[in-house]
Amino acid sequence: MRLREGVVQLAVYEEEHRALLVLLRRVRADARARSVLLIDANGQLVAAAGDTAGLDVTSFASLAASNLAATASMARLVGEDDFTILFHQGARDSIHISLVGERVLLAVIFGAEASLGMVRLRARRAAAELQVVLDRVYRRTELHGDRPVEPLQGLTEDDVDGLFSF
Amino acid sequence: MAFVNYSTKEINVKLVYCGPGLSGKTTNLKHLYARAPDHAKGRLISLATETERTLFFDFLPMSLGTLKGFQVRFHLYTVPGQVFYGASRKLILKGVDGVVFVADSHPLRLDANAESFLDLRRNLEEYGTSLPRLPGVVQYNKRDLPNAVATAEVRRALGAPGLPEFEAVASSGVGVFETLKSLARLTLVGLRT
Repeated sequence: MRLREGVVQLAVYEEEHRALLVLLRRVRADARARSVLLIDANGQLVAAAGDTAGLDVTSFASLAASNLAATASMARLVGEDDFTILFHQGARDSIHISLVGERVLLAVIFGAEASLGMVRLRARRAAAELQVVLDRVYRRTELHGDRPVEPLQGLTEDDVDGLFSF
Repeated sequence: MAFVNYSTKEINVKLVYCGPGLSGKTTNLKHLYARAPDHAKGRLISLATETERTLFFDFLPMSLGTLKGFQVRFHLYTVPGQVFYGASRKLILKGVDGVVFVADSHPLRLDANAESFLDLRRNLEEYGTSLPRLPGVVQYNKRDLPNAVATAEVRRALGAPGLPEFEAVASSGVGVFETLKSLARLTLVGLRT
């Protein structure tokens, strides 16, 4: 990974990924949620816990991040810095999205067996602990800022072309 | 921001199709979606108006295979081309790893191309980056128009940005995969060093 004109390439290593998963699983269990997703502000899924079978997590991550970004822009139009929580209520399932720091969002998908109050409480409590792990991720990113993306070292243009051989 | 997950062995790259309204950005994605094999593509999501004009963005995830044991995923986005959707455009460009500028070859769209390219450059600048340090390619679309202007003229309208160029007819798929392949190559090879 490296820094490119201020655009930081985020990299999550196993140790931090495992730590994030532990926290997400706890939110899921304590809030009795169906699934819990951690998504970076650019719409990339960082980690997920719970029942994600049948859920297009890639699309979900992209839409959740865009949703929050659009809402943040609306906030600034009315003189707010940000709206840090979004809640969408459905007939069967609902979605609670909250900001963790400035670069990551926590999405909790839950059904009738969970309550919004409990989800909100658990999401808020988990945010501080998630932030501690995320800070480690950011520090590693900065420490290794001038390094190339490790798995891509030695990559040739032919390797990339091979991806399109269908 | 290319996102590398060493735990799940994934590299996620965000590529954005920009350009003036109706230049064929969504058409590019529709063709990729139609032609890519099922295992390589996710769902194509279009946040569009009733008249199929892009309102916020289109999104197509593609998972083309592995490099050095890492699954490479491309997240393809289009931005709304219409001038008044500037705020949405800027949001989608956040964290971008590579850009395709889809230029319209119609003679009456030269100014629109120039304006849109300027808008792209300004947005990238606000995110602290610029072309060609950020990988980018230009696609001259609608080359099948009987009155298509010469690519040199479109290039001049864009201020001769010095990016790799491709001629295309996105509606029939000509040049669509070549454009993406070129940008993928630039982006991934750029992440290597």
